[in-house]
Amino acid sequence: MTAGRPDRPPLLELRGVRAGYGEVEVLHGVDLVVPERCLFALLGPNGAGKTTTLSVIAGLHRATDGDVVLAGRRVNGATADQLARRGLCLVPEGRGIFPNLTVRENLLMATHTGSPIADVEARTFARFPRLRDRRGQLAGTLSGGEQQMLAMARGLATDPALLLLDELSMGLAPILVEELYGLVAEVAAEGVSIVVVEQFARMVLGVADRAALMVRGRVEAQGGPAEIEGALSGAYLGQ
Amino acid sequence: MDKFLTFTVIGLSTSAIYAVISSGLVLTYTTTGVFNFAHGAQGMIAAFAYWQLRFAWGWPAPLALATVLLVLAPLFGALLERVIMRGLADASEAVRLVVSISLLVGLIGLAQVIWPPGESRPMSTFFAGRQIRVWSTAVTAHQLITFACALAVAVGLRLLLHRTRIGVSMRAIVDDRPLLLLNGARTDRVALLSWAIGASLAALGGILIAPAIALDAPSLSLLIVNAYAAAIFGRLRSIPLTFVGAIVIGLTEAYLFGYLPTGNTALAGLRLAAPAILLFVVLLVLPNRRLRTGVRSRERFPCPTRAGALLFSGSVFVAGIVMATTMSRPDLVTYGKVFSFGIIALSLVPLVGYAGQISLCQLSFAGIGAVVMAHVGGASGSPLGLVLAAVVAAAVGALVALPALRLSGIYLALATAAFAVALDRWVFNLPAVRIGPLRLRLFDLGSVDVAPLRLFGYRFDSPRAQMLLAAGAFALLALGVSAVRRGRLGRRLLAMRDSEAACATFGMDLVRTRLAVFTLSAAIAGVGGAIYATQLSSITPGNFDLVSGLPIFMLVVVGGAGMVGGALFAGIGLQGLLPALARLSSLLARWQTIAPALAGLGLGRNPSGAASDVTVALAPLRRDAPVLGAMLAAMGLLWAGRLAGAFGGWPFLAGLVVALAVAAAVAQHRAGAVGAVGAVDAVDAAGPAPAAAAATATVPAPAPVPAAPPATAAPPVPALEWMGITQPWTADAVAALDRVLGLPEEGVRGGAAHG
Amino acid sequence: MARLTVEHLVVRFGGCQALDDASIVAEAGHVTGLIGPNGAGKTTLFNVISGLVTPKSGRVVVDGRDITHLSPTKRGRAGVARTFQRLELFGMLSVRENLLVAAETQQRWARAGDDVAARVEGLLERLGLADVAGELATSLPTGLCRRVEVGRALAAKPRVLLLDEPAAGQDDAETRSFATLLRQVAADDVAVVLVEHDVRLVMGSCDVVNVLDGGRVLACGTPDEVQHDDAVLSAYLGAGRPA
Repeated sequence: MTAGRPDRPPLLELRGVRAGYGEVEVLHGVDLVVPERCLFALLGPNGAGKTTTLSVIAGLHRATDGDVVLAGRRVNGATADQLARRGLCLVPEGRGIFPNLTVRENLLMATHTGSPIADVEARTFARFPRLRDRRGQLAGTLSGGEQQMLAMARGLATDPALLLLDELSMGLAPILVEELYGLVAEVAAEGVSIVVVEQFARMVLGVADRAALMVRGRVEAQGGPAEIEGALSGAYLGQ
Repeated sequence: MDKFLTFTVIGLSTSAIYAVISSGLVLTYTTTGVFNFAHGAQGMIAAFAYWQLRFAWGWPAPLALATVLLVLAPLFGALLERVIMRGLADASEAVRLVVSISLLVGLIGLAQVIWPPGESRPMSTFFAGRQIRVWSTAVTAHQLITFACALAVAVGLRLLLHRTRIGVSMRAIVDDRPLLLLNGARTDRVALLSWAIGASLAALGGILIAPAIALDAPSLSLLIVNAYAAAIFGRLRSIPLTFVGAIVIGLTEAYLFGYLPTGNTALAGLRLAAPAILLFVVLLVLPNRRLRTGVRSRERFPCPTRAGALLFSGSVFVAGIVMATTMSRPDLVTYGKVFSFGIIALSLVPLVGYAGQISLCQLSFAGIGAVVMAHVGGASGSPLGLVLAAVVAAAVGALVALPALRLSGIYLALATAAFAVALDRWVFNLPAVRIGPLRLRLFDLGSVDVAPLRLFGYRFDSPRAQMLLAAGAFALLALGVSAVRRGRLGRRLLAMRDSEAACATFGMDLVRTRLAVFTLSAAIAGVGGAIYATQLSSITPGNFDLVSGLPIFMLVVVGGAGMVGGALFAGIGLQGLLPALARLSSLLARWQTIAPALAGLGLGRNPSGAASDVTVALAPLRRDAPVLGAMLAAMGLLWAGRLAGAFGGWPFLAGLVVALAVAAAVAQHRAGAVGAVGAVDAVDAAGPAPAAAAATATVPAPAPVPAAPPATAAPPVPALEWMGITQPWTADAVAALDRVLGLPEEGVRGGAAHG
Repeated sequence: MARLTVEHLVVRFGGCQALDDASIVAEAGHVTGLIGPNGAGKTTLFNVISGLVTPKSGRVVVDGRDITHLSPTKRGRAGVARTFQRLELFGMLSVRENLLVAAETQQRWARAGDDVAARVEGLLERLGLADVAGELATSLPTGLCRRVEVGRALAAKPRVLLLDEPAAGQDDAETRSFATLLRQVAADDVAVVLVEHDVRLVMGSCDVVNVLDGGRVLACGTPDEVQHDDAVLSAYLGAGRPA
């Protein structure tokens, strides 16, 4: 289930993408190819620009130069909500939930992409039975793990074509992180393409099909998990 | 007990109306981040529209209500969102504020054009005369309907915000707007709906309250200060707390009305001012905000050079002399106020332009200065009056600033507006008060005469002398304000504006710096007010109320609050251009109140204001001594001709404008300029910028890299001078540059192109 | 006595523990590094030291004086200066004015003779900013902006200098010369504390490196010791299943 067929364009391609905040340029020309049906790990030390890369892909942040190509179509100008309705789903770093809305209302927001609420609830509760008991509770009062489940529920229940996950593990107990990545692998096996951004590289290299290593706003290496593994500690600690 | 019950019912019905109005305000603020100062004005327009349909045209009440509440108001709200508010998403707070204040002033003006004030427009309550008895007091049908409306709004909003997807989306926006976008929600539709609903709620409130306080545009619009206080109770977020705030304010007002001794004139105004005072107090008990960081202002104001400041002040004074020698007596009376208003506007330059603070009460400080001038100056017009006007206004400014120091942005704007309202509704209407040995006299319950200033034995008693006095004072104070910018205080103010946190980290005393700028600004306003008062020769509280002060704030920001030219722009706009237009045609006279509002609404496009464009446009002329000399000579000849009576006022003015335009164009040409970068900007300039500037504005083209005034780097062509430096030099960049320079398109011409 | 001592800091934001019993020491004359994964609490630690965030418990001590409860302004007066990760330059002032405004704040009214202007010119020269001194600060490329921030902090004559990611946006050559500059600054009896992701700068300029993870100090030692610490490696790479 690694690469897509060669006659079709890759699901996601970045060509020389530059972006920044105000005067500070963070991405200095990022090139990235994510094939179809692939669990892709985007790794790198912090400050490398991983989160910014995801924001650019999802349309939250505008690239100052370069192209973002989704399934062969250039989508540079598209807004985040347009992309979301076309099947791109980003679960942002640090709890992608609305804390002052109840669990049910959070799920209601996921229906903006077109799935009926009954479907979203059924699929979410099937996967995370704990959330069913907390339907009426404010999402901000859930535990960290439950919040992350709720955030992921949107990605899992709305059938995205491309799922982007940013730092699932942030602030969670290792056992829970392992559980979440088990789920990610399951979803990938169903054929959803997934890009995972993760600081704890070894965690995801175990489940990824392909990986890329970002350092200082550029992609340093792209390839199979084993190739990337070797380059890691040099990039992180300068050994 | 009966009395208590009666006033409770009255208070609660007022509360209900405030609750309806302020919940609409909270709804639009939370979902779109724009604090709509014009919210009450929307309600006012709706009340007028309802009166028109129901009473002037005799429609049945249900039909008229439905038309206003369900069709006109939501359409208007949606239109505002789409046309004006949407463009403000990334504008600075001051710009947003100016736009919504402009809307407020514009709507008041519009209402006065369509429904001229002075006519009686009786508006009866719903089911007039019917009432029921509850225990020992009567509740009118209108009050019952009001309660029902508030209840319906509460229940309806609750259902909308919790039971519908778009309503839940409105709450979700408050939590995390980008996340809602990631969910695929069309946030623009959410914003549209919330503005439509907000407008309907304002309309409902306006229609309910209008019968109680007569159909009058300004007072209906300002009723919202009361509703704003309620919204602040809910910290502009919580609708239930907003309802609580509305009840507190409504009841306070009613009990003050019922229980304050009636005979006491000192307390009469307190009733009217109570909500404003409550607003001020509530703002002060808001939790402490954190230090501001990272304000990315789009505004750019060049630092004035000493020579430039002297040239500016000199030109202003010479212009004053020319005006004083060529104008008729009535014209002198009319246009002399250009300079005194200019001084009041000048007080905003250090405050708004340098420090980035907002004050809507400068005209109130001017009023204090005016009162001091009237009483201390006395019949002899002693200069001590002028000095004390500055001192007393400064002291009051510091007094207001001290509690308001913790506030910023919209909260500071509201606090200063509340202060202005408290002053003009209450303090200015106080009779003489005796505090110990001091007998404090204000407006003596009406108008006060102000004697002309006497300085070194000379009495500035003719309009001509007064104009020279005002022009001279403006020129001197403008020099001072420019010097502040170049000096230590100016650096501190600009630093504080950009990042309070960074200032604190190297030990700058933020409190003292803010106090200093408020005091300085109030002192300048006090002087302006004193001079304005001598020109008026008789002043009333109405000369210095909040609504009259708002256009000054707007026009200074439009003109460019960071430059003294912005203040002159405001003075010319309000006391020069508008009366001149009114003179030209009576139609324009009717519409003149709306003009400044239009200028303010256009501000979003060019946040640095018009003054910086004019400075850029005139830069080549300033450097070109021969052309400058020729122009001055031509103007001198014109002046001589006018003095000799060779031609009238209008040809004289036209001649001056032509001379300036021609000279600017020639200087431009001689500077070898081919660029049109500045022109892009100047055409964008909001407001009535001098036509000469717009027509000839250009900038030396091969921009000497960053030395070019940054104003030229405004959209639509960002950072032109950095092309090929920060980004690779591409064919696209060349094409873009060619477009801007108006050259035929060519390919990449090699490195020399951007050398 | 150490120039800066931070003891047992605890900071919570909502339910999140940003700092959990964090303690560091910075000596005058040394560059003290502070590294760690995202969300480790590095910037929060800076915010506590400079007074922008109030800790739930713990102390901040400069030269034996407890400044935990002082306002940011008073800490600035006590000699704690800093730079910001997301540049906080004064965009409407020129580069020279950015430094001047900081230098003037340190100047007491009584000693107006102190030549502020000369000191600012010296700093501009030293930081390589003399050529752009008249430009508006925000019109410069990022690398230079970072230097302006450092210059502004130095203009305040700090005793403790906190630098938050000063190398971000600087190219390799700039980073190298920056490391030299840091050593010089420290040598002038300043305690420099450096938060940085650029490993080369940290390893090249620091005397001591503290590794922060999950709001607490995981390891502390020379750059070489830290690089080979197993706990540090797993904090960065995760302890998960190696492929």
